[in-house]
Amino acid sequence: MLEVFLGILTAFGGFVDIGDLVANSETGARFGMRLAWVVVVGVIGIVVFAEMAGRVATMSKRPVFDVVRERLGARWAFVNLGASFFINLLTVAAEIGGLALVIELVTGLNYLLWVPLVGIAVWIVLWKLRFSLMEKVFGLSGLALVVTIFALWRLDPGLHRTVQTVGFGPPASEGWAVSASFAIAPLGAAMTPYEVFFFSSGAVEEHWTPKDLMVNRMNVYLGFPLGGVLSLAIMGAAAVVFEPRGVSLSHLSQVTLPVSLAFGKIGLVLLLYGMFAAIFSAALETALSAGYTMSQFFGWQWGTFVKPREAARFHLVVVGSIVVGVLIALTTIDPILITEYSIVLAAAALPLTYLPILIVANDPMYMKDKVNSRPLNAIAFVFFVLLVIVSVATIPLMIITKAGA
Amino acid sequence: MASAPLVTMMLVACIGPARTDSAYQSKAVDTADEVVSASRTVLLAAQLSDRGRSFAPTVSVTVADAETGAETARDAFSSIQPPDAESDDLRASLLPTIQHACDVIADVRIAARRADSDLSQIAAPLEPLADELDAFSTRYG
Repeated sequence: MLEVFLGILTAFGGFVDIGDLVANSETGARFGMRLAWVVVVGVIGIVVFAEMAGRVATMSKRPVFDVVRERLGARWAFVNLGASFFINLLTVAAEIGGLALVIELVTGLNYLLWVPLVGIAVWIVLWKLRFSLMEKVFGLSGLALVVTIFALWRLDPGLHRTVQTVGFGPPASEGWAVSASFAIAPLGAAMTPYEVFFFSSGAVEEHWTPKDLMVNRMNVYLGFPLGGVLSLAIMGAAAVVFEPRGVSLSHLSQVTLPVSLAFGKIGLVLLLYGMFAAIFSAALETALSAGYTMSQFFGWQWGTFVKPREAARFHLVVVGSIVVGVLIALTTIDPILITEYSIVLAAAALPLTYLPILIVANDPMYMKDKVNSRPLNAIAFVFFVLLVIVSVATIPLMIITKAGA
Repeated sequence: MASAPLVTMMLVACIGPARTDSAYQSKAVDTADEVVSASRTVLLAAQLSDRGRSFAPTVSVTVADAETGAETARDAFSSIQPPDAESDDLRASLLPTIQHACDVIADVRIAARRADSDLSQIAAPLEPLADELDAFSTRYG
């Protein structure tokens, strides 16, 4: 029972990363809560996707990229791997840059000084710490971000102002194209593919059996929606503080202002600690996901429970992705810009991994009696159509709106 | 496949020239909005600093980030060739206010790095400047 509870809390605390912090704050500052529904849609999407991926991994004993290769064939799966791996690398860079920005906010020293040290710290933790321990430590520490929920309540008691801006259409000052372009960011931030690669690989590594499916469902059905509440609170706090002032959000430093306004230094300490833990957790997961995807595609030995000597290529890819992430972050391209591109492109690439999982989740050869139920299939199919529309529209929208400028 | 995002990044990162009066006006409005945002961020950070609700390094970084944003917007706008005489007037009415705002933000940044008190007092001129730029944005937006 305690294990289940900790699992839910870990999923909750580990839900938010640099992408969620940036996308939800930017959207709240510019649109109020008019795009809050996108977060709700994104959370339902990631719940459906992660639950299916966990179930497929449990029943077939095969993680996402193994399934992708079998279903799409080696050539198309390789294209898929290239796109997913590239976006994952961008996400590693965004998380490393984000961590350096958090340290800059604490020390006042330029984030570029911290980038290499953050890279080394991520590698040491991956190398030295037991996987289950690091997952729990960083996931639970990320719960400090709950301070944002209380901050929103303090800034807007009863949430009257927050609720007033809830809606579906764009505000009068914004066009549909810009709104659609902005809507992709919270969706991409909520439905990041690395979460699914990580989740399903963990299921295989920990040798989940059908008995574990209930734990899987509890983590996904409770942990992720709670994480979604956190995302909505981040959006709400930005909506209450920034939208009336006409402030657009383009720096991580601005994300701290609503919490400082509500709770002063104590709130700020909690927020910075939570941000560091949540982003660190995401940096570990994305670096591991790079190793997982590549190794699973090529059929190499992989996993955090395997000795590095026995999974040398897996560990090499993990270390390599950290090094590349550090190098990208050191180019002086704004980490927030890298984050924005990584989440939007992640949304665009989602159908590539979603479709094979959806197909296998309906295959009784693998799934036996655990195939998708009809209602779940209906929801999953609607999401597939939605993801394809998003995928097709993303790049034209970015060009037309100059990335929402 | 992997090159598509790179091409997109390059395409959306380009700042095109303003060939018409309306395009120039639109860029002027975007610039005014950007500087309003930076100015009000600095006002908020200064207020938090004076009330002891934030740490000196956090305030300093917040103000420096806002300064970067305002200066980038100013530099981008001032580098655009105005297409006609009407645009010259628009430029002449906008740039001094933006420059003034950038100067005040720089003063706040210097004071914040020295951990000086009374940042709100130094930042105070940003209030009317932001309102002026906001009015400009509403008028031409």
